[in-house]
Amino acid sequence: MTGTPISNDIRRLRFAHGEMTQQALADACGVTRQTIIALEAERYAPSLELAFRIARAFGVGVEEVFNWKA
Amino acid sequence: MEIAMKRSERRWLWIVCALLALIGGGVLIVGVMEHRVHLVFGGVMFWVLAAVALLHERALRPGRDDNPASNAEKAAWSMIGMGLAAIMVLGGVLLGSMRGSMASYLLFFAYALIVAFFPVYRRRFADESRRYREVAEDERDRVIRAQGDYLSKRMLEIALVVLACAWVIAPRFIQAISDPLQVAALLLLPVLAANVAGEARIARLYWRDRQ
Repeated sequence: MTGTPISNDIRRLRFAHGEMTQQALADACGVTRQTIIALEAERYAPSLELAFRIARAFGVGVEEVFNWKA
Repeated sequence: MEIAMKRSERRWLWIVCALLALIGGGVLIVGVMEHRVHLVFGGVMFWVLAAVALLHERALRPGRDDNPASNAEKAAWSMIGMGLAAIMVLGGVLLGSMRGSMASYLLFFAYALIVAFFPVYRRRFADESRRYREVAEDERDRVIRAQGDYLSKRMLEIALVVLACAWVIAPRFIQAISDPLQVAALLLLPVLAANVAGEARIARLYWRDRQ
């Protein structure tokens, strides 16, 4: 579960959306807070479904949340 | 939800663990003096339980970002503790000096109780999650569990191959195990050991992710 080639802007987007808490995002996506923390630390690469759920929670496209590290 | 253990609770845990270690030491000494292998195993079982409880408490402290342990991580630690205790009981039955005795049957029933308690534990964690309207398990939990299950399966395969080889290479050793309880213990031990190895990997992966 260490290191993933996918980076993300979840933390930045959370703060841009009224300082949304990790728990609030977890509830919106149907996952545990621990998963959101692991995602922010880039220790876990989400499934396609979860990636879409997160992007939907922020009202943006998936590519605005997740990026492939070169 | 109260995640971190309160100081008073931690003190009680230390007292209980010290008592367990003390009882274990006493049982172990009696076992060594009277040459009773099942008592030696019983003593070690108390020590293992105390060590797992302390490790469990230390491992579940919130990590980076005040990241608390998930219910799945707590369940993994409980499974390790109970699995190790069951291994000690079965080890005592297998190598012990109590073939077919009342004590061996009692220990076997104790083991059965521990196994029966597994689903109760899982249910307790699930109920707790529902009460706080939390997600009990998500895709990351399933990914981590799959890694633990993979190791568990591999360990079980290796153990069964070793057992089969022992049966062919040293049949006298296997045939010496004539008591039905010992045969049952011999067959169940690899299953339990494989499960504990899998749960240990799960607990380690969770713990590492939180640091």
